[in-house]
Amino acid sequence: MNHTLVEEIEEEYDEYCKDRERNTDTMYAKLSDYLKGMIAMLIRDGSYIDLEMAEELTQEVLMTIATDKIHTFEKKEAKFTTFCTAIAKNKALDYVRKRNRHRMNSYEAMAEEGYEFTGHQMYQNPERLLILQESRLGQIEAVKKYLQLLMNQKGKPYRTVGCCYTMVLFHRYHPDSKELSSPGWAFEEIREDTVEDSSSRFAREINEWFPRFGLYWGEEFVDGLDEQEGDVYISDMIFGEHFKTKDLENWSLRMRNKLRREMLEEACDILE
Amino acid sequence: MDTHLTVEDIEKYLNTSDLSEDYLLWLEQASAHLASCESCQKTLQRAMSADAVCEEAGLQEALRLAEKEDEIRRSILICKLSQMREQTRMAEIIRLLQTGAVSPYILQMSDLSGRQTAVRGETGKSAEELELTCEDGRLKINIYGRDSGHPVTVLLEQEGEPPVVCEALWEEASGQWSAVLDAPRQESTFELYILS
Repeated sequence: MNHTLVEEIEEEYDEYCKDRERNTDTMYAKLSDYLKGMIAMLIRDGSYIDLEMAEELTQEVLMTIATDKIHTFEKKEAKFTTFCTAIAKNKALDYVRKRNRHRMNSYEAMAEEGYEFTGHQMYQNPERLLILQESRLGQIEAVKKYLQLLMNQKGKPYRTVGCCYTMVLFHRYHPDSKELSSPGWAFEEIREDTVEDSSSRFAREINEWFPRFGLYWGEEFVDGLDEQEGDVYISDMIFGEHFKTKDLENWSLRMRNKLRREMLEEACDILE
Repeated sequence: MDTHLTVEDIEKYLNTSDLSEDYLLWLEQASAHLASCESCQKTLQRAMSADAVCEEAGLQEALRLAEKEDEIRRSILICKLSQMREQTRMAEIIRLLQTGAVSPYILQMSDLSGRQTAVRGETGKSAEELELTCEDGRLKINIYGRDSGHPVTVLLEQEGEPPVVCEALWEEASGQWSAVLDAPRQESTFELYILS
């Protein structure tokens, strides 16, 4: 952290607060120097640092601060530079989220983003393609981890199985669906099966779908299945007890939050 | 902030809607730490990658992407090979891989404690069979089911290592192609492409 630069920007800002008509060019030039490095760090792509994009995002952040946000900041204990840091961080994270999303799309969609990856052009820039593909492989690793965490869940096995069908298997059969998950489809698929049969089918299908993943039901799940209602028909549970199709949706929502937390924990654990 | 960012810190950092006074005071500390800690920068990158999969729409797209894993891995291999280029048959190897007609054998070193065979294709004349033996840090691959008329190249790919290209030799007596390479790392999964 460059303390001198921070102090200089804070002084410039204090002066600006005293005289709102004052020329702010120097303050923004210093802010640009201050924020660019952080933005570059946040949008870093493996070993690749896109300085051009960092510059572009910095300019957008400065524009947002100058035309809109600066008037909403009231200096108390927190510094003006930290306020600007928060805006820059949010901008950079939005950019990375969009970039990650694009990367999961087709080559055609990526071509629109500036990657020329069609036909013979595809391998004309191997360094850039390598960075992109390794990043996509990283995303695939994350999916594998996500699915394995899902299959390792402790708790009621019928809930886990229900979530597997609602959140995941649905997409195998409805690849172009606008629905992001489907409790209705899941319910119809599993209602006539026992929890054990449904879980076996899921394991078989997920490994047919992604043969490299080698996914399996975790110990916690298997123990739960042995102890609880593995041989009970799901329709009997749904109608015989207090469950409704809607429950699959609620379980999935809770499961997503739980898995997100576990994924973040894994991301933190790796380097500890 | 003297210690590494915790899961709570990472979650808080990824929150893009808070600009409260408390949040800014915390962010000042977190940003100062992050700027000087490469390990936390890497954690944050991993967390962002994980976060993309956890969103409802993100999971759907990530599943679509995972369907293309073979294609992506092959593309990575081609990139690496096109940066090597010193081998005489490299252009031809790259062309073969680009057509997508060759699939790898995906193998695990832990399975190679003795002799392992891998078979592909129809049983009978068109079947290709690999026999793998690992001894003294060397991996020997015997390739059955290919005639002597066309040279055979073995390509070994393992994550984190440059690909290894090895021309197989025809062994007249046993009527097979054979290649010997440095064995992949123990406990690793590796891929073998047999190119002709």
